[in-house]
Amino acid sequence: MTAPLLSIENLSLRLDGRDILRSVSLTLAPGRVLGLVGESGSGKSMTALAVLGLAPPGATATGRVLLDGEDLLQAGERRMRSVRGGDVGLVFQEPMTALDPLQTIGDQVAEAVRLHRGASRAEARRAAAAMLERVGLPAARFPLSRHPHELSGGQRQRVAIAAAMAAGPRLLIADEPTTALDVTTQARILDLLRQVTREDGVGLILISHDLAVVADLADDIAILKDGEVVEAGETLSLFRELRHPYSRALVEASALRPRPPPGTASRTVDAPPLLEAAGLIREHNGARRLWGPARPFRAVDGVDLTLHAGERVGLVGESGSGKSTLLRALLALDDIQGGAVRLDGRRFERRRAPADLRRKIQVVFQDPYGSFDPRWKVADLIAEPLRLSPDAPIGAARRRRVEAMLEQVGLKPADADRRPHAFSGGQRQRIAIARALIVEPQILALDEAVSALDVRVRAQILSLLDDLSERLGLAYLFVTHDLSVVRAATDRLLVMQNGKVVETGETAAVFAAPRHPYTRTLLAATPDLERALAARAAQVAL
Amino acid sequence: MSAAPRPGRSGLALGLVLTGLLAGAAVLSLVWTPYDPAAQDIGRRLLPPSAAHLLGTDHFGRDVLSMVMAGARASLGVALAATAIGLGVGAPLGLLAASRRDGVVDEAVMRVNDIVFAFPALVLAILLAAVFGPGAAGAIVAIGLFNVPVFARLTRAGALGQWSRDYVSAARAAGRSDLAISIEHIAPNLAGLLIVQAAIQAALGVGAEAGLSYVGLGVQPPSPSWGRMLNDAQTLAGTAPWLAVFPGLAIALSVLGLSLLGEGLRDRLDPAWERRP
Repeated sequence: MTAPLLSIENLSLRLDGRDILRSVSLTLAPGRVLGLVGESGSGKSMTALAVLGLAPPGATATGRVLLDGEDLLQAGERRMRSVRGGDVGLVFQEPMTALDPLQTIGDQVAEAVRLHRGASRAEARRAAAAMLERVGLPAARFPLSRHPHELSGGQRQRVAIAAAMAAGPRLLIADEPTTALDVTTQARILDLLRQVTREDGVGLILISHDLAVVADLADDIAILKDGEVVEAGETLSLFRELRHPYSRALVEASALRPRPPPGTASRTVDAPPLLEAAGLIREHNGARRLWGPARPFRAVDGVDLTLHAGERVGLVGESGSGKSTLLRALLALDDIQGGAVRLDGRRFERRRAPADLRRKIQVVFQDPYGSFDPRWKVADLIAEPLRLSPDAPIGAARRRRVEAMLEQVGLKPADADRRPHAFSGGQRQRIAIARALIVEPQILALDEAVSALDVRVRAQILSLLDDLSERLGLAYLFVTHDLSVVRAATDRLLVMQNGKVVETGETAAVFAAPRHPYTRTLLAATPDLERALAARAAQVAL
Repeated sequence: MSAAPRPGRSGLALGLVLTGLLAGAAVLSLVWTPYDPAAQDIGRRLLPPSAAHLLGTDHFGRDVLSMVMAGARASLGVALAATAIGLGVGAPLGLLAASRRDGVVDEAVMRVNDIVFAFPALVLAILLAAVFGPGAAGAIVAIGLFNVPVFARLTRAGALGQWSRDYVSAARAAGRSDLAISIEHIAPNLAGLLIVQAAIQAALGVGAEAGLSYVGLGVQPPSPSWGRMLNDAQTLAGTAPWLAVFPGLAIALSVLGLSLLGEGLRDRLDPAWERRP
């Protein structure tokens, strides 16, 4: 074994009397990939920040962070400035905010070269062009004079990688580099990270919440929980052994079991559908032109959809496919420009959405932080849709109804008096579900409702949804980009691309034999822990 | 992260003290001032600050401290009334403009705002004074009218941001009308923003009132006003500097106090702070 590139020894971090990191020890050899895995708040990002001397002000770090033998914790700010971006490159989650929107992509990459290699302007520009070419943005198609907003999310992340690699770092830290990207883009960015770090012999620390992504890319893995490394080791043997119960829980929660296909008896195809969309068209105002009217952009382009009582349907697609726009039209939140939506056989549109129809379909949104008025108490938030009921309870009866709902979603009656900021992300999604279910809808629409959650919380929410659908006979409409969620939670699915439904069928059948090329691409690009481990084992065997 | 210093704490405290002094002086002057601010005593004219006259006397022998206290009433009264007009008219207009997504109402409201915004305030004040005679009411209307587009724009911008939030979609899915959402969800979430702006507009109002009074378009004699005190003082600045210094300080400290109060309140009212454990 070669001398380690990075060796973190007993790194601890205290902030306001709380231990953020507790005696974290990790090593990384040159050219290898170390995956840091953990749920939010586990300290995985904080470890990276501490390595770079970017821990929040007021935090005290103890231990040693040795980069090629040099203790970075002892290094002065001047030295650390040349370490950051020079010896250690950084790639962040959000490629939109990590790049300067006013600078050209060529300048952003060249800046790193000039700052850290003391190159001249012309040299730096040549180096930037070469680096951008290496990350798949050849100057012929992507001139250096482009600005970030002219690129897609994946292309922006390529620029960020080029900027991080341009100064010739020894270590690259990538913090959730693909979390904000679509799966097909994610696969290509992961390949790129693997390729550039291997070619240059750079050590890579990959921080991710996604076990499958890490298993695919990382040679070694450390699993963090509450600021401690609970288990660390070589990827294959770590996943085979899983000595720590927390690691086992994490793997179990992230491997969602496919839902068994529904028995033929449970089908109610003969009954008229509960929710039906025919030829639905939804247009946005497109970019304004200097002269003449804006050209409308068709986000949903002639979609047909049916949902029967008690059925679970998934709506899958990447960002920009129109799935969320479609959902908003189905919920009668936005006007439609063509086609029709029928709920229980009656027209259901923004301008004609009577309360008795509206209460039949309720929704849970993705962002557990943004979907509540921060000033309202939980009791009032949950009770808000009650105004849709003709015989809405008031006073003590209303309170009892709210408390019963809270218990039904696994919260305590006393939680009714707190405000949303007092709850974790998973608890907030439970509150959102309670709010949706209080008017006893027949359909619950879930717009990426589990996407922002940690895997263990996600598993809990999905099992809560299972439980509720059995007890209440609910129909679900899952809108998500995450195929594993669709597979675990739905009977039937629709795949959307560019505003159109390209494939539809029973979930199990589509997963077994996808017909449309786009569906096949999606399936192949979706990270899968088992597949990643099998590929790794095959590599070792060679 | 409770130990992280909250910006604006000390600023808020200073803002509260200065604004408290201003309001205290204004209220106190209703029932008591050391001397009658209008009482002239030519024998005691142009006295420098002393135990009998803490801030000295002016060229008519009036007590400057009494005049500054009574002037606080005029300044604060005009500024608050003008801010109330701006908030009371502008905020509902902004909420309305943001809630109507068809764009016609929005366009109409905002274009009228632009026209008001583009019209010079001083010219309007002169116009009002010419038509109705100079006075506090004219100053209030002139300053207040120019507060309307400030609040309307701010409210509309803030409300548009809120309309795109999921919690508003959830309220719509719960069947709430646009009006109910504007009043029950959007307005309370903009309260912090508006209070900050109100304090800043009040600060500007104090300055504007002083300016209008300085040119004789504001509060009319015999009611004392800081702006007119400054005007009276300018020919005497060499011999009796206190005549200019004290009303000037009163204006500066009032504007500073209200501004600091606004900034400090924003930090306290911002719900982001509540999220911190």
